[in-house]
Amino acid sequence: MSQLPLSSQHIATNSSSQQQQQSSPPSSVRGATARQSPRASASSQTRPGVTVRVAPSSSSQSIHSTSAERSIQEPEEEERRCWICHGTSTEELEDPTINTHGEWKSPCKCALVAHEGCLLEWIADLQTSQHKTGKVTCPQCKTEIKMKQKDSVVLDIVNGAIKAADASIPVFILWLGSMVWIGCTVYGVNSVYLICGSEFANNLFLGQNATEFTDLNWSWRLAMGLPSIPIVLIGSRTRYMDAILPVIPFVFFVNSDPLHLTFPPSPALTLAVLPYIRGAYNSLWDRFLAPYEKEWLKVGLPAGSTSAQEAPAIQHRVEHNLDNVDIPDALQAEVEVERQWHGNVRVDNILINGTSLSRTIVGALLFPGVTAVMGSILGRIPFIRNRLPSAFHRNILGGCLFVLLKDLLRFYFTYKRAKQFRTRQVINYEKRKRASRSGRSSSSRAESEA
Amino acid sequence: MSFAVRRLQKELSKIHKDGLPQGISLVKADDFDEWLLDIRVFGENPLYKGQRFRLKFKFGNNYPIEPPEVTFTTGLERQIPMHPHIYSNGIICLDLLSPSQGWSPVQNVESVCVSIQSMLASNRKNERPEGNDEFVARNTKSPKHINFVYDDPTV
Repeated sequence: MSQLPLSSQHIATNSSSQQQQQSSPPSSVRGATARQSPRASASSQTRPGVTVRVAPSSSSQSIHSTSAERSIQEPEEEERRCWICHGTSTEELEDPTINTHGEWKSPCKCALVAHEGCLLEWIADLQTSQHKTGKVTCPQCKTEIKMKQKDSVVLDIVNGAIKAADASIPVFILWLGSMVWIGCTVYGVNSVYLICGSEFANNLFLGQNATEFTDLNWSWRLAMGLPSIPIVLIGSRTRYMDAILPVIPFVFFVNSDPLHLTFPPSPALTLAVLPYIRGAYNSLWDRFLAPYEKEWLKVGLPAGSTSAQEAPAIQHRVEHNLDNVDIPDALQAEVEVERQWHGNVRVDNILINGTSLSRTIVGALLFPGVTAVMGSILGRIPFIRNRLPSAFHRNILGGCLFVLLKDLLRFYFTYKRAKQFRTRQVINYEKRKRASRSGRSSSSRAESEA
Repeated sequence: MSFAVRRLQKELSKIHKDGLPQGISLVKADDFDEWLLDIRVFGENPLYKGQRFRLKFKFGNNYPIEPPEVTFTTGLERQIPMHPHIYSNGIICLDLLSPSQGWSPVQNVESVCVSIQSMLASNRKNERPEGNDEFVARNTKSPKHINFVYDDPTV
């Protein structure tokens, strides 16, 4: 929607008639008015409602204080009116305190003048509004309004740095992403060679009969599969991957190989079956061994530190105990400990969580290496070497054995720790003093002095 | 005294001294928050012949850096004019009144009235904007903050 010429004509006639009505300005100003009027009417025709550089007599207050003051001024001095606040130069002359908007400025080629303060406020508003166009133009003549500000090296540097950072973010993301991708791929290749052995891995990557590395059979399966190896390895340490893991081998490895049952099973079948073995192993462990482990882990934690979820369980156990129902030894022991000791051992949960996270990741990433080491150890045993001639199968078996050994060891250590905790005793102060007196070592004296 | 009040005092004293263009009259300007003005359209336009329309100006503290909120209101013998850019609740779709598009401090109450007067005078269509009923029923925003699309150079 645009403004009609009709409206501006309307105003133009209006303002020119105003000027005609101003019949008798003081003689000293008359010349200025005469000079000014063509410019004023010309400017007011371009836009409605704007009458700038109105003849001085239009300001009613100034009429009486005229000639003496005016004659001191230069003859060309005409009244200026700020197009933003509508304040005039005449009233400022009479009362200098009225002007709080700064110097008069004429920033464009048309007749509009304004206070610097008003202009700056308007420009700031323009630049903060949503539809900023960058350039600030005079609303009447559309001349660009130029500003200058003091250079600040610090601001320039900071602005430049922000701009450079903004520009480099996509590059950085690309760089970081490709680094991670390359790293994961290299890791993936490395673990395939570690686990499969170089012969089978070469077959996998280069095709059955390839001899040269240039025959690399790079397909989407490798491009996607290799980088995802470390991710899947880490994921397999959590329960989130339980649903996904069994599907992955079918996508990447088994696709082309027909299933045929032999002993030892083909590598593809082995890999496809592994996730199921893992699932079965995990559920067996959870069913039969995990409850004991859990109870042992609780030993050594104060009774008060059990979380709200576990509280009903303890209640349940105590009830069992009161009813003298047969309960497993481990539980019995736990209840006894509860009864004997109500101390306060604080465990820093956050620290443990942090280290256990990094332990999980590092453990997952080291797993292929450990598997290869276990495989080579198994390879030293002639019986296994005969039954499983390929390094791949020995490595897989080694990996499985390692997991089993590790879990059993952890199980054993948890048990030992719980047992050790139950032997704890608090030493009486008297006993301790006697012991240190009989010892008479310099270190113990230093200790007691401290 | 705030920026807006000083500027409005100037505008008011100018109106009192010089008067307003033909067809525009000041109805109420008791304070510097809200003014009422009546406009009439001259000429042979049958749509608005012999009618008066009432404009309500609401000024913020930041006037004239920010535009006033200008709407038509109903009253004694005052209807909302029929126009393809005037909604039946009085909201006017005019780029001049938008803070980000047409408004600049060079405008004033008089120039806004003149623009709206000419907008009516040139109109030949006896209709409301598209989607008027839905807009009137749903809109809770201040007219200043509605994002109109100013795309009609004919009106």
